[in-house]
Amino acid sequence: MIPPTPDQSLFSNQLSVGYKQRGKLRTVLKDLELTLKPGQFVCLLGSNGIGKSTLLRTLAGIQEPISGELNLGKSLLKDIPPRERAQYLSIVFADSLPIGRMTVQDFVALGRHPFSGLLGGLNKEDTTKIEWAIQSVDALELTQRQVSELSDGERQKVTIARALAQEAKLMLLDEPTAYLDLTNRVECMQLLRSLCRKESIGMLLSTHDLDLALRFADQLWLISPQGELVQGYPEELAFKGTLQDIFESEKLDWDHHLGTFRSIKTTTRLATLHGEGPERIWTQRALQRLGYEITSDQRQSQFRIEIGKIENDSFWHLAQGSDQQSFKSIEALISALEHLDQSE
Amino acid sequence: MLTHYKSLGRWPIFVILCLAAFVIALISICLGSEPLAPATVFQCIAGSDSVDPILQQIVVDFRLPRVLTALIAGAALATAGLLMQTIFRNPLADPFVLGVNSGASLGVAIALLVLTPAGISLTTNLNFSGQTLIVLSATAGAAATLFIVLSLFQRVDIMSLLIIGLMISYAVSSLVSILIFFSMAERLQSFLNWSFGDFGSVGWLHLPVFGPAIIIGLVATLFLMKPLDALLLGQEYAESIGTRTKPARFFGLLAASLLAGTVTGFCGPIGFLGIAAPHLARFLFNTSTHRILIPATLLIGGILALTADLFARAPGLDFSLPLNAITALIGAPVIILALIRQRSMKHLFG
Repeated sequence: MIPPTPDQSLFSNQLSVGYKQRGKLRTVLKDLELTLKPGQFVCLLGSNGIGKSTLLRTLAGIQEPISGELNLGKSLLKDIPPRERAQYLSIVFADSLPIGRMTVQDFVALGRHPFSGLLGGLNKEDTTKIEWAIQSVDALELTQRQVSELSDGERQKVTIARALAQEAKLMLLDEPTAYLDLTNRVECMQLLRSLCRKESIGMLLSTHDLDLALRFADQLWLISPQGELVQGYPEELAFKGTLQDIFESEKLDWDHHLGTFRSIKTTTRLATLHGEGPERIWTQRALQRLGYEITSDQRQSQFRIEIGKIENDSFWHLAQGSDQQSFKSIEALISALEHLDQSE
Repeated sequence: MLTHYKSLGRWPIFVILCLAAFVIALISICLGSEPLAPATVFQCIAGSDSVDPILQQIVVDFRLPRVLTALIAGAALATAGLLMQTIFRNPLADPFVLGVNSGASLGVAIALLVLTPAGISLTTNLNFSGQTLIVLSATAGAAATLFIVLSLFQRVDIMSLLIIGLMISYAVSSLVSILIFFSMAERLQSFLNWSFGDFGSVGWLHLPVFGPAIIIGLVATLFLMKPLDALLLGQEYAESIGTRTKPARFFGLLAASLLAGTVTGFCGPIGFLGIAAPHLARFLFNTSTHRILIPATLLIGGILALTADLFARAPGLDFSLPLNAITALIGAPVIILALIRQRSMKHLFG
């Protein structure tokens, strides 16, 4: 781990966040003791409307805390003048795009505002930083393109570049992967993660993607349906069952072996599965989708599946009592099982 | 390697715009009830002894201040429109969204229709005291409306302010309608003449007030260049890059109101320039960055105003047309063309 630099960490003390609704204060999360250090990659998880955005907006200083203290380094966040704060803290929030015509270069250049003079003129260092920021997100070829004409993935990249140009040691991101397809989502997380390490930037990002969060985060902040924030090391939260407690519902079931949630089918049937490697994992997932649990107890299982290999080709051997069949793909196996289901 | 803001690519357009402004200004001075050759015009302005003193008077005392007024007023309205569009993040905002023009109208309506001071014949050429009265009442009306709207600035968000401005505009306009309803026909004519707009009403006597007021507004706008760029991102983002959005918006609105209010006070309510010029500038320069957009909008506004004035005076004909009608007739097709070529507002503004 990168040693914490005390003057650049964001930390809270008995912090309560919420918002005003028709003159009434509504507290969403309370008594938070949070710390975000440079170089740390934290994912914030929780269902919609639970207060992720409210928390991020409060940490960014956009919204006042309801009570408690929020410190950036040695000072209270609210006492730091905006220009100085912008040098320590950058944000990547939704609907963050400029209106009108603006090239990627001009857009990223906005990130230099905390450093430029009264008229916003850019010096050599500024242009170098702008180029560095665009290059860091691997978007040099987009430099002269109009921001309004970019794809979702490209736009997210340049938004991150704009935040990078601020050279802040902390970055708050509100669902940066929300509108991206799977490939872009993984790429975006990889990019953020590597920037976090390379530039030693502390990142806090909210997401709904538990899989990706578990894979990339140094630390998870989970908001339970009851509105409590639980912090911890991802793997620890997983095996101690905290993830299960928070996210499990009637429709979702935590799978300890695969480390993911899966949907529950009402009737559970049992099967034995023999085999190894990726074939086994994916066969198991396909069977689970169909409502089968894997068991090692031969007597309870309705049938037995064996995965074998001839040279480089896998095959699936299905045995039910005296009936035996072989298949060349998971799809063929599953459709045969579905066929069996229907004939029963 | 980053190219340096394509600034070189933009210079030719700026040079062409400057040339266009100069040429149209020259044509405007040459044409009129007494057409003059460009050479004569230059001689008149240079104060050469060989020119007919009457011609010299026409050029120096009437046509030159008129052209200067059109240029300055056009630049001012266009810049005010740009400020409003950026501050409200709305492509339809114009310099008058906060009710400056309806306030000025009410002021003038009260002066002309209610106070009806004796000894000022407004149906014929306005004499100095009448003109000054109009300027003062228009300015007072604009300032009063603005004061009401801006005093609400701290209490509501920016979008509510836009709607409040529009509502106050409507309310004030209906007061004007009521005054018109109860007025005599001859008084009405002078009010209508004012409401058509005219660049000819600012003479050398008024320019020392008119000019500096506009220059203050324009210089203030230049100093707001950086926060205006940030405001394109919306309030939260602008603040996250260190912008103090409240003061930036307040001074922006103040500058826009000073520009629009001054022009309205001196020249009457001139519509359309303020909304059209910023869009044309975005279209020509393909950017929303204010470092480029402010000078571009200013130039285009000046050119549009000069052109509209040239057509409104209808040189060679016995009559002149309402300036307000001409600005819309020139401006509207230009905007429509720009939109059709860009296919959507999104590429111009959104």
